[in-house]
Amino acid sequence: MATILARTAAPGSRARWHPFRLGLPFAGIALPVLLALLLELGAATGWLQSRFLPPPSRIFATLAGLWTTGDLAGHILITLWRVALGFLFGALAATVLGMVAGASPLWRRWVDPTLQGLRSIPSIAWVPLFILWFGIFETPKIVLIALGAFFPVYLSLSTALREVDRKLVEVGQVNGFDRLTILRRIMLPAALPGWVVGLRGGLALGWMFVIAAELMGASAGVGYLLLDGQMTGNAAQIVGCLCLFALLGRLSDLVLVMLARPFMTWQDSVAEREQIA
Amino acid sequence: MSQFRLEVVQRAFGERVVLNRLSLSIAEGEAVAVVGRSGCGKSTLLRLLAGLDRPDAGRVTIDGTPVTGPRPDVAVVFQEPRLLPWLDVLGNVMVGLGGRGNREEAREQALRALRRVGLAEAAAKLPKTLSGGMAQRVGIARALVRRPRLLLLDEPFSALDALTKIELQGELDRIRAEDGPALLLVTHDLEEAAALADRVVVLETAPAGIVLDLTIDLPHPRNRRSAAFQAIEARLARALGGADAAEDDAGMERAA
Repeated sequence: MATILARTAAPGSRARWHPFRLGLPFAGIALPVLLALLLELGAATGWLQSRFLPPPSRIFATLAGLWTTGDLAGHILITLWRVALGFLFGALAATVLGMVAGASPLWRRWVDPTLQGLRSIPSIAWVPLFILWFGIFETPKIVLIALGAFFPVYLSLSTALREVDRKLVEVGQVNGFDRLTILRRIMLPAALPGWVVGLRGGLALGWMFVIAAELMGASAGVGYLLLDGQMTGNAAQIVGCLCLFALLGRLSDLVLVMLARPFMTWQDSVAEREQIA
Repeated sequence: MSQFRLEVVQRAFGERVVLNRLSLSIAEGEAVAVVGRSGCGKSTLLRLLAGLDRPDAGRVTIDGTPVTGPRPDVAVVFQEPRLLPWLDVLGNVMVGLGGRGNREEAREQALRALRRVGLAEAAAKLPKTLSGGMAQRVGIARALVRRPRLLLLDEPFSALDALTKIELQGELDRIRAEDGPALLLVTHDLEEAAALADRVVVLETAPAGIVLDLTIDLPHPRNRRSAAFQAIEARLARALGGADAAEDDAGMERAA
């Protein structure tokens, strides 16, 4: 919103400061900062019971304490590693199969229904089986995250491929493209925005499932830290972990969007005009 | 000698018969306009020659060989420009070359085609930044770069404003004089048909049959104000709309 105003404002008025014309990163952070201030105020005046909802200063101190011992960085790194690896495997498999599904009616008729059936199993329900198959260490966690990331990517890519404008496909046909060239040069580029939406959804689910995996049983990771906070009745640590998840999730999504943006400048869409992630 | 032929072609979509027992031939280098009301099956006619559609019955041939799919010597300009939005203008024109062959050479050819439609400076632009007229020019360049023997145009100018339309019609007329491809121009614009075609074929509403096949013997570029031109337009209007509509037109002219 702020950027729209900023861009439609007359050039001469740009120098004058106005709160609604602040750039997007600042505008986006304004609300959390305000909320933190209110919480801090609430705790200081005794309106809020800090045993249940600790003030931001205490959360920050807890995280800082964990940071100085070197534990926090380790926990964050291991969680990031799990999400990255699981997401990579899941997204890769989904991209390959999504392409097949988008291009092949045969696959859609014979294989896709089975995949859709598997999709309706809540991913957490696989956990016992994964533990039975892969043990209790890293493998079942990565597989679970990969599974979580798989379906959004598969679904959105195959759907985007099927919904490519027939008129553009015809352009390829009348100009002598063979089927593979049509897939490569017309259908895949046209499906790119849909694929990116799927990747973002997949990454979000990856974050969801890393918690599930780490709550299940882990000796390290932000999810483990969360559970540890519950065991020790440390609300500041719990809320701190929640904040970490919000931050890491948002940052990883931003990275994805930034990586994708150079390939999507051709879109004549509202988002492309506003540059909103 | 007619090189491009549709012989007693029939085509139906489900229950709806669009073309019924229709024959049409186009000679090498001949410009034929097909006019008819919307939905009369004239686009289907074009799609049959483009190899995008097949007849239920009858034969579509080029040089006596049945058309089974798109051919390298046939190019199509669609009603909408249908540019690939992720490619720049030059890339879109290169699509016309089918993505084969030497890339440098393809670039050169595409640039030449762009120059012919007066868009060489726009080579690096993205389609979203083009006006409707510019986009359709790119569509025409994409067809020209194929050096087609038969150029199929499906209401190519119907979405453009009047001025741009006349400008592009003039360019098409000139390009045809230079390259001499055969032309099949599907349109509902009688003036456009009379201005560009050597022969105008009028279709009745679906299932379409030919109600008039009129040869126009005026030199190009045609003077649209001349009496001969206007007589031809009136005759087309009569054939298309039945006697009533034409008499109305005549009455209006007298009144004016």
